[in-house]
Amino acid sequence: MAARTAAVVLGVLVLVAPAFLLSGYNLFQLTMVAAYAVAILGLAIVTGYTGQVSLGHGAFYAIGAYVTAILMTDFALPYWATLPIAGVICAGVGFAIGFPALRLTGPYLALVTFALAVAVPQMLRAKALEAWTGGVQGIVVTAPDAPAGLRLSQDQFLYLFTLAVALLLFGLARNMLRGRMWRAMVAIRDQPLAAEAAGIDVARVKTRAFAVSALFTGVAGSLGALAVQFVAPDSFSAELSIALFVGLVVGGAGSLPGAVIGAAFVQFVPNIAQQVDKSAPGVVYGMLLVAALYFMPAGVAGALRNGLRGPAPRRSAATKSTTKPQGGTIHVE
Amino acid sequence: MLTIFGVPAPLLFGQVLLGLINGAFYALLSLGLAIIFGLLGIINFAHGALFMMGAFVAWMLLNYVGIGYWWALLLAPIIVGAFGLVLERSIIRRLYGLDHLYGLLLTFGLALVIEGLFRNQYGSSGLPYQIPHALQGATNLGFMFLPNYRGWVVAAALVVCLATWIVIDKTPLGARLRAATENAPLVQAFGVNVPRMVSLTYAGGVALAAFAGVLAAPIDSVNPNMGTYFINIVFAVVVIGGMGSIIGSIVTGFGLGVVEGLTKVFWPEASGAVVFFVMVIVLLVRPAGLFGKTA
Repeated sequence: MAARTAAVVLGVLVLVAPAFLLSGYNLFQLTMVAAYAVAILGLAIVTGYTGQVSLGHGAFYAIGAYVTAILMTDFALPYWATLPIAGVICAGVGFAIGFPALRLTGPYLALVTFALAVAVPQMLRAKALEAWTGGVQGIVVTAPDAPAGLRLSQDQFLYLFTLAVALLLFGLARNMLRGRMWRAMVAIRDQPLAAEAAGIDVARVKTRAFAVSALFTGVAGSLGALAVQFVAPDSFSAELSIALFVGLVVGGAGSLPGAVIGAAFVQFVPNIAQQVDKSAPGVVYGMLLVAALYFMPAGVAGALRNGLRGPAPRRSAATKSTTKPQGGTIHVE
Repeated sequence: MLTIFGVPAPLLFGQVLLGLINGAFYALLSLGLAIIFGLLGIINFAHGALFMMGAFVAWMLLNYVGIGYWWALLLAPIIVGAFGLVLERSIIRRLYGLDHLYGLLLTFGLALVIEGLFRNQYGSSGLPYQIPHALQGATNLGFMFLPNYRGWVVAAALVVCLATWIVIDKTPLGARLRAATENAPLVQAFGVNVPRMVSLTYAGGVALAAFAGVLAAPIDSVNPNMGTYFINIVFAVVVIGGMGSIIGSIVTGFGLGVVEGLTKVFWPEASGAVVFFVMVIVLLVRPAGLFGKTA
């Protein structure tokens, strides 16, 4: 028990230290890693554990970010109060999307949620909503100051605040994923029929998982909006959704530490790609992505767990392994 | 002047024609996606990049080798198809045992690499490609002027789509293909080389995308981003048509192109989102898509 407490204290120290060792852009990047980690954690709940593929979580991230921006500018709410509201609104939207999603599986759901990711930025641009969303211009968010009495710069405070919220949410997820809900979710992922036969209300668990997942990603969006201090439709294009998904798979779908590794990939790799080759960062990013899938199909977290086993595809949390191509069906009528 | 629902007829027909042309590209692209998905179970995110490659290969053939449009129409799909074959054999094949997602992300990464390489080499401003001599000018149809090239695009796309459908539905080769999508090990046991068929199917779907790319080259300028515009909508088309349905992709492709064109006339602001709106409605009513098999 003492060793455990020591480990926790040490861990917290390591996480808090950057606030005093780094500054400016470097610290901002870590703040974003924490925000993305929460977003990917949300995605992991629905994709990694329940096995419902979402390529549209950027939409929840965007909604969370806009809720925070609108509440802070139009309603003068304090920054911290916007987080739970954003979470609840996103949970509602996620619940609503969870219902039609029940009827869709696998690649179908992926494409539909991807369409959501494409549609949301267009809706944010719409003239009808311009009074709220600021249209193409977006909304500038005022950065929160550290509470009086704390001698912290805005950057330091933002990092620590984001970190605290992220730790809270990771703790919540960890507890939740130890209980009945988690077992039900995994059962549904691996053996939907058996799960139903065992008395699990599949529809209820799936829609709940979607709502909880959207809540996490929405709060992440709020945190991101506070860190970036600006929201605009272009920040939340379909690429964001894919980036979150890339983070999930690269980190290792269905593992909590994987979410952090994935978030680091999402935040740092595009920058590294930019430095390697200024004119075509996409090439480097794409190659790293292909290499990651090629060598570590179970994600970085999975690879660390299993040891690097080279290109032989291993069964990972989000996959059902078969030896033939998993063809869909082709038909003519 | 003749008006229909308060809209001048030439404007209306013009938009319908534009819609048909976009629809031709949707149909060719979603057809390739449907075939690839049917046999490989992979959502080919690289499809837009391979479409763009088709246009670029046509441009290169003209500017480096001096081969014109008509030969490019034949050669570019073969060249890009061969490239697809290499991709499938070397990289994509590795992920067959895994979930659909891995294939999707892998092809997404490949698309980034391909587009990035072309952007690096040719910039993103776009290169001109002339309409072939025989198809310049326009024909007066009485109610509107039809630019010859645009008419050709719609006709060529229609012919290629129908030919593909006939091959899959009516020939022994198509029968084997359909059988392999149902039960690959059994078909292999009958002596069909299934892995080779998978490779060739991927190459075939890619060749369709490249063919569409050559058709598009004289309409858009040839630029590295030309695939990205189409690909998002094409995914929606595939969902609406019913994933894996051949005839569904063709009909939905052309149909949605026209719907989009008409929306531009009557409610311009909504034209960008109308496809997604249709998708939501279709999914609520028929989750397997318009032409999909309901489980």
